[in-house]
Amino acid sequence: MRKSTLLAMLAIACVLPPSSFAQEQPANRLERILAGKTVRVCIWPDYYSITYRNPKTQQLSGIDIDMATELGKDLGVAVAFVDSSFAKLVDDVTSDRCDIAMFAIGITPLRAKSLRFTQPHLASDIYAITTKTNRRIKGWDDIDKAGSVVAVAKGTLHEPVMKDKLKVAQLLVLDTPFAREQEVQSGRADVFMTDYPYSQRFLANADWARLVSPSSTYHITPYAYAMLPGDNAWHARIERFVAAIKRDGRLMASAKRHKLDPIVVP
Amino acid sequence: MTHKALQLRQIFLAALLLFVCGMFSITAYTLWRLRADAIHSGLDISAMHTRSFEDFLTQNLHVTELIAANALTGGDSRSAPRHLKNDFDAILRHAPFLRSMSLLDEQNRIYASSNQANVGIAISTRRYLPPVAGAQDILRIGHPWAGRDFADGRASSAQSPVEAEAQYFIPVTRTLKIGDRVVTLLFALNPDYFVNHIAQKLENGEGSVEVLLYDGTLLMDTDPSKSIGAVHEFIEQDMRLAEIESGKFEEMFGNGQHELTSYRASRLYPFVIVTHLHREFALRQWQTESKTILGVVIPALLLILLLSTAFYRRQQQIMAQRAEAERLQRINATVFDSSSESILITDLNADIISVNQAFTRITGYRPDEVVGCNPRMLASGKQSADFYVQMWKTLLHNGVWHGELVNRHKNGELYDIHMSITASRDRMGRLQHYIGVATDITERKQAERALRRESEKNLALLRNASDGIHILDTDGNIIEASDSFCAMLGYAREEMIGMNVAQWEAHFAGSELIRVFKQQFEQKKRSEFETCHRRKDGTVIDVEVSGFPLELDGKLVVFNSSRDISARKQAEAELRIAASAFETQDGILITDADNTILRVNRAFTDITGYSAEDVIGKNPRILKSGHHDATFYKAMWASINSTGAWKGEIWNRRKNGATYPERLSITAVKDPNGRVTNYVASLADITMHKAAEEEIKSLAFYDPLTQLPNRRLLLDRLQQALVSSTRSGKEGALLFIDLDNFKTLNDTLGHDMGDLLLRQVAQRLGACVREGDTVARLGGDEFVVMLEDLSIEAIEAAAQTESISEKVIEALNVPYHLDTYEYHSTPSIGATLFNGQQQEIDELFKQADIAMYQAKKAGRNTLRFFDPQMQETLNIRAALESDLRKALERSQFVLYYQVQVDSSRRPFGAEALIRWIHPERGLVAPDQFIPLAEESELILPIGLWVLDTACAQLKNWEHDPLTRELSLSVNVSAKQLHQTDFVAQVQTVIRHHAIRPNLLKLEMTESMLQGNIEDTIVIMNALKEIGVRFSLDDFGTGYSSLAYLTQLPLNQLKIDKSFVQHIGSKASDSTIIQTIIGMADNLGMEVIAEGVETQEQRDFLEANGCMLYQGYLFGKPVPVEEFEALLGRGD
Repeated sequence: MRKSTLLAMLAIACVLPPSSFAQEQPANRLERILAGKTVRVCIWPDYYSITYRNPKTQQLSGIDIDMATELGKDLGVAVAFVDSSFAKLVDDVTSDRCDIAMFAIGITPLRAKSLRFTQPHLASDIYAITTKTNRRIKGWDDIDKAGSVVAVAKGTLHEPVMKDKLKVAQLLVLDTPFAREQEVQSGRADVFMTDYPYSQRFLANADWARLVSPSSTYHITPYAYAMLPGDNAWHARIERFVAAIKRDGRLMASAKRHKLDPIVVP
Repeated sequence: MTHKALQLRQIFLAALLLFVCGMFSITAYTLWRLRADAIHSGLDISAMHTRSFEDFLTQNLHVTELIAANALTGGDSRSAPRHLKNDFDAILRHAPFLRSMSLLDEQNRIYASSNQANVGIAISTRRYLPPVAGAQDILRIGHPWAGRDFADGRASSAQSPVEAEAQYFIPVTRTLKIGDRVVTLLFALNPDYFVNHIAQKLENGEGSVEVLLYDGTLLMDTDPSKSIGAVHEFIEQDMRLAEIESGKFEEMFGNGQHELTSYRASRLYPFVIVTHLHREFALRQWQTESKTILGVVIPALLLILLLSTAFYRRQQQIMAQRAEAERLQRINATVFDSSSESILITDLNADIISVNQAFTRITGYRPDEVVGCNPRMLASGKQSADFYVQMWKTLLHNGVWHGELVNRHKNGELYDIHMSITASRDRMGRLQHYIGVATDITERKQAERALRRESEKNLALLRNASDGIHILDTDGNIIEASDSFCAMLGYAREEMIGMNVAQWEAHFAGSELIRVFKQQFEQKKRSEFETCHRRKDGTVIDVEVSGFPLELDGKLVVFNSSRDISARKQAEAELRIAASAFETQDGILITDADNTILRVNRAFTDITGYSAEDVIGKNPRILKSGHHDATFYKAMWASINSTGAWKGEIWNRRKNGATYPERLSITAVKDPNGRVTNYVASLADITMHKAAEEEIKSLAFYDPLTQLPNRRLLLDRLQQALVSSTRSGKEGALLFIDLDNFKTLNDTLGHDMGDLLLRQVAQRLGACVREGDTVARLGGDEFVVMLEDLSIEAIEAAAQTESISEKVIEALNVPYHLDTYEYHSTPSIGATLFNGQQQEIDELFKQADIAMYQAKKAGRNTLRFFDPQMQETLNIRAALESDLRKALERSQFVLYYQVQVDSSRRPFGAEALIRWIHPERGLVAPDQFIPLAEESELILPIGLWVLDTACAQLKNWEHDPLTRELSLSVNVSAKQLHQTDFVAQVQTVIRHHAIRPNLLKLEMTESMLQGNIEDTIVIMNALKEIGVRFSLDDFGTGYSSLAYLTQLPLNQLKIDKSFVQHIGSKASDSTIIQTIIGMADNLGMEVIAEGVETQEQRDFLEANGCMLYQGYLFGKPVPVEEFEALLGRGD
């Protein structure tokens, strides 16, 4: 047991050099950002209502795009958005591709091991999307049936949760963009799992899709922003920022604009 | 009606009919045309849909072909299956209409596939269409497969089609020539994609679309109930696809449904799209239009009909008036010429302008001899000049003159005539003509003269006749009266002569008298009538007068004979009274017109206690009870005066002073002339009747809403059933049926809907039971079914009861149609068996009731039998409740205290926890008696005791520096908090013990905040004013909306022990704890964790910012002495 832990630590040490190189830079990230006049923010451009890039206009929109812009204003620096995803999240943050990940990241125990979270600003339950013609999935209880196929995006919090919760249905973990939608629309999967923001925005645009809501609270996850652990000054600054947007109403105003006010954490 | 008018009417009616029919025909034709147009355009729409769907499907299949053609260009078909899979996956990403894509090897086995599970499966493409012909690159469509993909699928056939609503796909192959090799690509076509597309275009319920293979196999259908893979035979006979590729027609299905059907074969592939549009859908617009058109046309037609009928009527009237005028003119002309009386017409100067034939006959002059002459030429000279002066005066004054005169014939002879001359005026009143009409009365005159001589002789006789004979002139003065007439009226003959009829006539007066008198003269025959004469002494007698007019001495007189009929009249009146009075057996009271009591009968005396002697001569007012006001009597008299009668119920007073209700009817008795002579009252004592009515009401055995027997009748029948069961030995059963959630229905849809449901339930229950069983309603939603004559064996009887109950449950589960709502209700049934041996009805009711609650507890919509063990459990519970009631007065409650510490383990407070020291059971935990106390309202005094004891303890602690600063948490229940005077209670207790209110902390649970949150906020704010603090207990376990948190004046959040327990073992609970702490921090509340048992838990909490703790790690709940000792030790 002890030996294997040691082995793991050794392995981490082998991988560490590039990232430890990153840590050799001035210890205070905040000062670095202020000096460089740019804060790098990781986003997932497929995330409706949170950090979505419209492929037709290449325009970014969503509550965390708004909040990242506000963060830039508060710090007095420019914001550089860095494309990431839940699959790449940990890697992107630890290898210093961005200073902070701001795309409604669910606080899961696994992520909490390698990331440091702010206090949550949103909390959402899990929802399922199926096609209008799928007659076997009528309600939530029809999902976990023999022969059902449930799609989730790799790296999202839905992956471990569904792995844990599904008893008989088959779980399909996908990591190409929009793969969940493609699998469900082609009938290779029956439903894909998503959260409140994604489902609301997605349903507004996909005329073939149908929402399946859990009959009672299923699994509520708080969402927050994530950073590399350790840098207390940077973390404290961001916590102050989160407390500020909650207090002065910027968070709520943006949430209302993106129809997310039911899931804002006060 | 004349022939012409009749003809006119026929023509009019015919024209009208023609017009109306015409209008109707035009309207009907228009509507028919519109309907045909609607169906035509419906067919067009159907065809349009078909074309669009065909296009969509064909294009997608064509794209599939293109995909196939390009799939293997990058590599070789013999590349490793893994490479091919990656290629295929990339392709599928952009083709949602394909579920999988595979490559077949020469043996038609799947060599490589996007779905790894497909590899190795053999596919038979023999029956795919079109059949193989040569080595062309063609796309072939197979029969549908049930399942998601080939790996888990099964090929369907006409005999075993895909089950309705099951997942399926359609296999499609495409052969490719690569170099000299032919390879086959196999696709699983995703029909959902197409059905989705169609469903979006076709409104729900508008129609359905099916896609058929050329051999009739159903490939897709928007109707999910259809069996995919089944064969539709009609395809070949109905659609000659070889000749025509598309078409549309109307068809009717067996169920009477008309469809507008169109079909179109794919331009490239062997399938047909068939669209059925429901005809009623296509006709919906037409129906609206038709209603509008009819709504305009029908009223317009009716108006035209009405107007033309009115016009026709008016024309008819005018014609009739004209015909009448002409007829009168003709009559006049005829009368003028054929009249036996001589008529002469003069102009304004009295010169003759026209005479008739009778004139010539009477006077001897021909018209041409007299026209232009003055009628004076006829004068005989017998009348004086004064006579003529008088005549002209009368004529000019009255416009008419009557009189007799003697004229001279052309031959010189004299003759008597009766002449009347009328001055004729035009419409403006100007004099135009004089018209003289003369009758030759020569013969009559001679006869009269002879008669007069005779009469004078008779006069002496007349004076002595027994009836009162009197002769009156035209003014009504007596010319002659018989002695008997004088005696009848009490005058001397000398006084009588010259008296006028008005002086003794007592019945007729004024114009009435003149009319009657005049009638006697004008009626040229005997007249008879009854009247009254007033005697000289003022008394009035009834008489019968008969008379006739005659001429006496050239004057018109009337010869009257009066007969005294007073005696007869009296007798008649008596008879009428008697007849009215004794028609009835009720009490009768008769008064005269002035309301003076004349007679009463025996029954009257029996009812009122008054004898005849008591009341005769008095007014019926003496019976008044005083229960009715003046308006009542006023209305009564108004009815009597207008309708002649009154009927009703009235309270009267007996002679002994007691009042009583009676049914009274009063009738006015009238004489033949309509004058009221008497009032007859008929009365009946209805004291008994009233009492009986009440009894009947209370005896009502049926529930008025459902017409089912009510509790009373049920009890009666149950009594009988028990007796009969004792005799026969057969078991019976009592079922208590309660509708689940009935109150919610009443609250949401209203009592009307509730009543509707109860009535339907009653009907269904009636249909479930056997003849002889009883269905009753106790009230509300409680129904009872009583079964009799079950088996002798209890087990079998229970089975029978269960079977009937199942029937009931099934029947009551069928949805109800309440007005426009469809409502679903379920019953809970409690049953108990009875066999009549020593069983009390009350006991049976209780048992069935208990069983019913057991059924509710078991999740409703079910049946439970009464079980004695059930009773036992309840008995124990009842005993506990009774003990609980006594516990307070016997001081069996104590408070235990559990310490609360901060991060440096320093005690800063405690939670007060109640314990019950039961004399027999020992220490009873709160979870065993608090719920019971909540149910029975005992929680209120107990809660107050806790509050009071806790405050007393706080006061005690003030004296010791060790305990002076400790705060004390007290649990408050929802019932307590919502008492109207809760704030006052807390205030009183604080004041009474004179404690610092900020040391008292009221703990509430999250569940208390559901329901009326607004009220809760008001109460909490009032308590906050006093200085009391609040803690929210069990936080995180309840309702998850967090919005209310900001509205409540909370000081502390308490993390529930269930989360604390899982620290380290359940990651999600740790996350929740972190979230709670963060939230409390944001809202400025302190946070405390309860149930902290291990050091590890404490450390985790501290690491995450929770600095206050409570739990076994620091101290269990203990009596106050131990608690104080613990503090001392800790110090």
